[in-house]
Amino acid sequence: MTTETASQSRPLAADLLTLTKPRIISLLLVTTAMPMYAAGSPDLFTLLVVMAGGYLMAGGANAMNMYFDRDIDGVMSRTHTRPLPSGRMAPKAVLAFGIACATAATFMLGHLVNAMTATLALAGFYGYAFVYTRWLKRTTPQNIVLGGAAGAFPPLVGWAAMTGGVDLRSIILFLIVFYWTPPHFWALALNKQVDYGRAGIPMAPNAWGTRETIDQMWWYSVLLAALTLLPVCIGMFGITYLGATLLLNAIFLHYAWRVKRHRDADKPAWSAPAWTLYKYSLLYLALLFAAMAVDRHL
Amino acid sequence: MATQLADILFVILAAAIVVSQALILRSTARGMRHGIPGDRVALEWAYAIIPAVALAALLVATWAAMHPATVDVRGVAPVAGL
Repeated sequence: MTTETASQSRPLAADLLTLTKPRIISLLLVTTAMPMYAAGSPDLFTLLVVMAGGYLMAGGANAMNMYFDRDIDGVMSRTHTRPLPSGRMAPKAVLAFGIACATAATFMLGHLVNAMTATLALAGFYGYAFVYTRWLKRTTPQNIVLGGAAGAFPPLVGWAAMTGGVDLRSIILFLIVFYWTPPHFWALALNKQVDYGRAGIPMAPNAWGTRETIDQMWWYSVLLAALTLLPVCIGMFGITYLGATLLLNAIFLHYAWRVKRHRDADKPAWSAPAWTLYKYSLLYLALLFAAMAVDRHL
Repeated sequence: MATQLADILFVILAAAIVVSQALILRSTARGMRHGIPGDRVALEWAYAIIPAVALAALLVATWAAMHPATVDVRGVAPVAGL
């Protein structure tokens, strides 16, 4: 009762911030900023505009996600305190906020950076809000695999902000985030099967079973490790990146293997290793992209 | 990175990528038998194959970037001489 009263009286500003999912965006901004440094030496103004525009675009997409998912967010323990299911905000207000954020971001990036940057950021917005949330999420266990493309746009945005275009190097960065997403998110989904089952979302662990999901998490991790080394082949990065990537991948594969070892066991065996993999995967992506920037400027 | 070393690394990485993707597809096929309605199987296969096609294209493009095409003009017969 006390918690309910406290949540009802939450300031509007705090709820608007919650709609943008700031914790998730912080990682998206890392994968936007670091490619800018990998592509060149951004001036402070461009960096700040891209960060602000990127936050608004991703925040708008997250608000749209909460608008479209308001029916299922209420039945999931992870999301039931969000502004919409808890009744603190009206659906139309959230929809308007999401559209306003995306519109502001498009104009900001288009006018102050370049058209390609704005276009790519907007593509990420549509990819997350419509292709993933409205189409894939509720219809296929491969929702996270294909939906991962939406979360992989930030490197393209950062690269385009510096170069004005998209090339092989930025596409490799895109695919690194794309192939990082399944082992990252399924590590969480494994521990939230009851929640997703209650909401009727066909996440891989619910639809395919734990064994197949864990199996795929392992092979996606191996694929990811190989993919992160491809930039070295084309001379995009050097020895600093190579060393950092080998170390980061070794730890990632170690944690993924700890989950895979228990794929035929019950939840208590793989639950904790899956949580560890989930938390490490966040650090992994941030450090991997940081290594790209450091390598280019050493 | 020296060209030969880069080539060797690329072949190893490409093999790891192809094998991993093939095993992901095999696992997806097994997963589909668990609970995908029959009328959705073709669509699910399409979803599964899209990333594999993208990866194949990436590997080809990466190899091409590592070995830019060079045309040996000395061996080409001059058109004017016909």
